[in-house]
Parts: sequence; C-alpha cells; structure tokens
Amino acid sequence: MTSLPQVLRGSKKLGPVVVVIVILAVLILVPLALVLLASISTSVPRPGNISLGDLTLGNFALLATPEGLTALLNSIEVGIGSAVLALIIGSFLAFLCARTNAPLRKFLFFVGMAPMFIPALVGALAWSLIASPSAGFLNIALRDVGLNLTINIYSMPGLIFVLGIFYAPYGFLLVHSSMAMMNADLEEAATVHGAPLRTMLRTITLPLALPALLGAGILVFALTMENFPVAQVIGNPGKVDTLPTFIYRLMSATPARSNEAASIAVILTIGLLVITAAQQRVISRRKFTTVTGKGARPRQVPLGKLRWPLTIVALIYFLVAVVMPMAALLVAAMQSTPFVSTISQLFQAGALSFRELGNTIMSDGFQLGLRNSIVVAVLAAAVGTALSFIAAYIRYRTKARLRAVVEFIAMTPLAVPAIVMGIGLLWAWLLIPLPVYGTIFVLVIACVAVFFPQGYRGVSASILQLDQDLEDSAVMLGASRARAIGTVTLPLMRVGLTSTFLLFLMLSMRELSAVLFLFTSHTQILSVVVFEQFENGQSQAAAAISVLYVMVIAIVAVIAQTVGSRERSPRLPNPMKGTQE
Amino acid sequence: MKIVTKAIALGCGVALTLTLAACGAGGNPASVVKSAQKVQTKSGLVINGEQIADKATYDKARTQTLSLYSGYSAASEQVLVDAFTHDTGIKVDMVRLTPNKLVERVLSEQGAGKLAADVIRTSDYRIAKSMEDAGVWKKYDVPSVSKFAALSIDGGLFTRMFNSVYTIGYNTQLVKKADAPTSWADLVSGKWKGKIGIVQGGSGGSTAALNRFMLSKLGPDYLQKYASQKPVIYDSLGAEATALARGEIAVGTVTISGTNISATQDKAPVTFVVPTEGVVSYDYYLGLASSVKNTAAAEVFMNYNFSKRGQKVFAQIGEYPARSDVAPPTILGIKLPPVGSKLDYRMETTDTVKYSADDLKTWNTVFGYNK
Repeated sequence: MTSLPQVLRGSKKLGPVVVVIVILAVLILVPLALVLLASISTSVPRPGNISLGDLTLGNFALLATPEGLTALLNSIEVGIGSAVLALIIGSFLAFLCARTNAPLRKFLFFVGMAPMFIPALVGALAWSLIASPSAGFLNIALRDVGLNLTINIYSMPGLIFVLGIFYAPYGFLLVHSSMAMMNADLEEAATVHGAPLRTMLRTITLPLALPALLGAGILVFALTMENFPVAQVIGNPGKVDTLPTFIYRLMSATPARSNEAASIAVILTIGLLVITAAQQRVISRRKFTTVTGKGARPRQVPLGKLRWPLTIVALIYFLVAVVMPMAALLVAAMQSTPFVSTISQLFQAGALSFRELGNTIMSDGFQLGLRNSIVVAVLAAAVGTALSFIAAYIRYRTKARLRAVVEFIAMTPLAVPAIVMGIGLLWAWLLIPLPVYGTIFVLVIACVAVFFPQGYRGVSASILQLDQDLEDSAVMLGASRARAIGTVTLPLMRVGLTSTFLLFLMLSMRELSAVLFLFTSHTQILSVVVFEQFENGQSQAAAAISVLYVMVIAIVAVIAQTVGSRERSPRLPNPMKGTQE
Repeated sequence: MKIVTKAIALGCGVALTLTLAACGAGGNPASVVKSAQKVQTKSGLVINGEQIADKATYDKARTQTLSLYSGYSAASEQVLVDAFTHDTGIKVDMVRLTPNKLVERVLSEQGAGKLAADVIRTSDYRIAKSMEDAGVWKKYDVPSVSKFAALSIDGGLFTRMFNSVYTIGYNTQLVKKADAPTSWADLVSGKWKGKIGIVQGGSGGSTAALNRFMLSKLGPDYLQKYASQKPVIYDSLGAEATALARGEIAVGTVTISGTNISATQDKAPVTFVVPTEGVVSYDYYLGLASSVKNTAAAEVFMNYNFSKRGQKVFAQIGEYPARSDVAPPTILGIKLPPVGSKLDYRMETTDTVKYSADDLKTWNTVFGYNK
C-alpha cells in the first residue's frame, strides 16, 4: 500500500496540491513578492504604481552602514539571548510538569502557558511600568527602602529578559507535548538494560525531545528577532535598535523610506530562511515517531528533596511573567495621577480608582475592538488549523511531487517580520480584485499568513509522531482514504490539532504588527487599540485596555480549554487513546 | 485542567465584578472644551449666531456618518470630534494614524480606488502635497475663507485650520517652577543632561518645523548641544508625553495641546513654558477627499472647523486658530504669545519643501539616528 492518498490519485493527481499551493501563495508569497519588488525599486508598489522602471540595488547599501550592522547584530543577540532564556524556562517547566512528581503539576502547566495570555506588547508596557529607570514601581520601591540600586529595563539585558519570559511558553508547549507523548518503550528498554535514570534522561529522553527543543529554539529565535512591539517599547528608550524597530522607523519616516525598509526585510528574510532550512534538514534526517499503536505512559522522574524548591522556582517565574505585570498594569489603570513618587502614595485614600477601567469597559472603542478581536481570532484559528493540517498532510503523508514546495511556502512567514508581512498584505489585498480590503477578513488573512509556520509546525510535529501504519491499516481494511483520515488520523491527532487551534486563537488574539496597516476604524482589534493609546501617550487608557484585554484572552482560553479538554478526555474507551496522553 | 480553569475563571470573575461595580462611580473626565453658547437648528445649523450650514445641507448631513482620516493627535482630534458631534448631532468615524502612516494608507487606498475617507486631516505640507499629486483632494471653499490670507491652500484643495504649537514641557513633580527651563538655551546648558527627551526628527510636520527652528534660530551648533545632553529619543510625541507624565524624563519637547489635555483630562503633573526664544507652530490641513461620499456631512465638518466655534474649540485645546479673528486663549494659566508675533515661529509651506529633507538628514547625523 502506497501512502499516496486516493484523493490525490487519477487524473486529478496534482489538482488538490496545486490548489493548496495557490492558496498559500496568495496568502504568503504575493505579499512577499511585493515587498521584494519594493526592495529593488525606487518607488513603493501600490495599485496603479507598479513600475519596474526604476530598479536599483541601492536600497541594500543601508545594511552596510554602521547603524544597519548594529541593528542586525543587536537583533541576533536579542534572538539568541531570548531563545536561550525561553528554552531554559520552557523546558524546565515542561520537564517538571510532564515528567516529574513535583507538587502542583497541574498548576505548573498553567504557569507554563499563562504568559501566552499576555500579548508581548502588553508585557512590554507592564515591564516598562515595573522597571523603567526613574519611574518604574520596582525602582520607586528600591528608592523607598533606601537602596541605591536602579534596575534599567530599557537595555539589552532588559529586552532579552522581557522577550525571554514572554516567549518561554513556546518552548514550554513544544517541549511539553514532546515529553508527554514520548514513547515509554524506549525509556523502559533503557531501564531494563540497567541504565540509571540520569543516563536514560541523557541518552533517550533528551535525544527524543531534541526535535522539539530545536524546533522551539529556532521558533523563539525567529519570533523574538523579528518582534516589534517589545523592541519598540523596551529597546527604543534604551537606544537598542533592532532590525524591526529600524524597519518601523524607516517606514514611519517622512516621507516613508519603504524601499529601504523592504530591503532590510528581505535581508532578514533570507537569513532566517537559511536557518530554517538548516533546522529542517536536521529534523528530516531522523525519524522521531514516538506515538505508535502500542505503548504506555512515560516514566515519572522522582525529584526527592527537590520537589518543592523546583516548584518554587517555577512559581517565581509565574510571579515575574504574570503576577507582577498584571499588578503593575492594574495599578497604572487605577492611578488617579500618572506620576508616583513613593509606593506608599498608592495606598492613600483616593489614589486608586476603578473609574478608568469602568469608562474603558463601557467605551465603544473597547467593545468594538473586543468583538473584532474575537471574530478575527476564531476565524483565523479555524481556517489556519484546517489549512495547516492539509499542508502538513501533503508534506508528510503523500508523495506529491510538490510537497516540498508546500512546506517551503508554509514556513516562509517565519522568516518575515510580521510588520513587513503586514505591509505586503496591505499592498496585495489592495491589488487582488476581491472586496476583502477594509473588512475583517483581511485581518483574518493576516493572522493566518503570519502564524502559518507555527500552525504548520504544530500539526507537522503531531503527524511526525503518529505512526502512518495506523491510517494505512484502516485503508487496508477497506476504508476510503478520506474515511481513514476522518476516523483514524484526525481523532488521533486531536490533541495536536486542538493545540494548534488554540495556538492560532491565542496568537491572533494578541497580534499587532501584522494588522497595524490593515485595520480601519470599523475593524480595530484590541491590540491595535492598546498600541494606538500607547503611541498617543494615553498611558492610563492603554493600561486599562491592557488589563481588560488580558482578561478577555484568559476567558477565551478558559472556554477553549474547557471545550478542548472535553475533546481529549483520557477516559474515553478508546484503546489507542492511552498512547497519547 | 480543572484547577487552572477555575483559577482563571475566579480571577476574571472577581476583576470583572470589581470593574463593573466601579462603573457606577465613573464619570466624564474634565474636558478642555467649553460648551457652545447657543446651537440653533431651525434654519440650518447656526452656532452662536454664525451660520455653519444651510437647512438642506444640514438635514442631509444629519442622516450621514462622516468618515474622517486624521493625522492629528488622537486625544486632540477626539476632543474636536466630541465637540462637533455634541454641537451638530453628526456622527464621525475616525481613522487615526500618525501623518506618515496616514499618507501611506491614503495613497494605497487611493491607488486601488478604495479610499474610504470623506475628509482628511494632516500636518506637513509635503504630505498634503503628495496626496494632492495623487489626486486625493477635492476642491472645496469653506465660507469666508477668502477673507483670510493664505488659509486656502493650492487653489482650495485643502484648508489650513489651525497650527499646533511645539514648546518645552516639564514634569511638575520633578521640577519646581523656579527651576524650570525658561529658554531653549537652558535646555542644553547641561542641567538636564540625561533627564531630557525629544521626538525623532522625522515624525511629521511637527518635528520638521522644530528642526528648522533649531537650525535657523538657535544657532548652528544647537542640535549638537542638544544631542550632547544625551536625550531619550522617542518615536512619537505621544510616547514622549507619557514618559514625561510618568517622570521617566523631567523635561522635553511637547505640544501645548497635548500637555493641556494630559494635565486637564488625565491629571498628569505636566506643564509647559513659553521659552524666551519663542514657540514653534506648524500647520494642520483639512480637506475633502476626492472619494467623499457623505458630502453634506463633510461640508458641515469643514465649515464647523473653520467657524468661530470650531476655531475656539481648537484654541481651548491649545492650538493657534488659523482665523486671525479668534484669539489664542490662556492654557494652564499660561498666556500664549500672539499668533505671528516674534515669539511664534511658523514654518512656511515653501520652507517645508525647501528644507525639510535636508534638515532631517542633518538631524539624523547629529543624533546618530535613523541612519
């Protein structure tokens, strides 16, 4: 039995694959082509103005300037620093949660994911409130107790710290699912053959988790390197320039230097494409199937005396990444004056009030943003997950000749700064003769396009871990391929697909950079409302909306989680089921 | 997962309850604008005795929702729009972006034939001109504009409605009034080293005017001196204003309107000074878009902006009205220098075209910025 699905057979063999490629190309490649065109042109490609007349490579000279090089090096430093930090935090929590007898494990799972509820922009705003050198709450408190010590978040370490703690959930989620789904047989074999725990962890567990670790590392590197909002809020006041802030400034110069911005974006894209390709080679060389038709739960590692200390370390992360930022935002939203001289001032009568929060919650702007955010996120999650599955299936389960092309397109946005993707999408959807521009759908398209690599990677990881024999067995027993997918593959991938759906949902709820050029007054989403308030200097309104924004995300997460956990209840009388939990 | 779910649900529930409970206590924050004395709508729209629109136009306009694309500061534009809607009953949909992003949006939409604006407001003549070159504007003469010199620009394609005023601001909690800078020269005396902010030189009409003022009026090495104070450079005026209000910087370049709104509506400890060398003012333009659909509402909005009432609203916000028969008021207890006086440096549109690009290059070099 070949693995080529019947749906792809016959005269229409390539048809569906080509359709998928065309869809992905319109979503992803056309915007990028426009950015590329802009990078080698002297004018911005906009409708009615796509001229090939003034081609130049002059735009690229910008990268060779000291400022361009500094921004590039800073970006790499930020990417590496925060990827390492996020991986350490993420895999520590994942290990603690998935493989040990640490107390509060269920809560630790929440701890690992919780910062995802906080959009990077909001997290950055919060940490600027906490630790800006002269007005941060932490520094005011240090001054209050007479310590001559100033924590300056507006610095390279500060930037790495903020990105690291808020991107740790990526490391956590990827490593956790890999650890939780790990085939116990291999570890058991090691133990049976006398390997001590430490050796087993080193020689079996770690190598098995390697694709997840590597994948997470590259992902966080790419995401933090291209992160715009944090670099803008934290890096900019500290004069730490990164490529995205450099691009943003070029875009917002008067007149906009879009062509040079595009050239920087192209360089960044090429660089990250190389890294992504290298990582793909590493993964594809080995087989990492860890979910098969048989198996048992992986072994739990006893922590002994370290049970509580390690849990407390995890809780400190929770404090730093969730509790402190949210508290700071809440206080900022409730301050009766934006200026705080001592912490005790906040406890005086009338120093805090719910008025701003109340006004915000009732305001048209917030309510419209809320509605739009939810609609965009749900649509993007549904469309994105479906497309991700189709693309990953074509790549890993068919022998379609163009499957490598599918993967190439799917992974491309990873290497493209969301802000540049946003500009490309703006140009693209102004050109494409469908009435999408100016509607909520262009925001959905933006979210699907920008987060496609994450969705695709999530589904791919899940497909890679699923033994293909399971689906093929159904086909051999007479089921059509479609039926086999529907009754075997999809149910077995439910955890992976649900996670991907949730990932799309969360990421879209949080997205700012990609939609910054696409919204209209009717289609503002919450992230845009917060950024607008921040840019306009309405810090209290920004804090108030941030608090509500995070609450909304948390509520959506709870609903999604409730639905999701019902979906993947381990108590179902399904003989296959136990292998995944 | 249950614990997690409960934990989040409980947290959100508590917060939501508190928030909703607090709503009752909410009220409108103090506004910088005073109500119009008298609005009559029997025979068209008449405010304080001045005819803003005839009956047919006004009746039509009231059934429409105006689409405004604005490059004006969001807080200030909101104040104006609130006053407009309050006075006229006409609703406004606002797309607010900084001028440089706005022009990108407008030109793209215009090129695609999808421009959704009825009226557009922007600073920086170069930006307005690039829109003009793309056929974005539609000629419209506001009533009585011909009585005033040089307010109707490029044959009536757009109209100068007011000037924003750039000056020095400070945090009143960090700086005592007696210690506050009194001149632009003070700013670079060394006293404010490391405590000072500025907005990047290429952010729009505001910084274009400020750059020209510094380069032409404060001496050839003023920029270098400013840069040597190690200022924090912000991307937008809004971000700098926030930092000033929170005390991250003690002094910085501000707009009078932004400071006024921040101090009055947000109760921020900020104020401004009128430096001995003067303040810097830069034009804001408003015009009908060629894509205008709600023509009646757009015309009423234009007329309102140019009416005495509209001009007074701008003055109360803290801007220089374009009309010479409306005086700039006293803001935060500080009397602004008369429009066009020695202390009001206004950048001419011709100067904008002539100098802005080179000035920005100079600025970027001196501040080691934006490359």
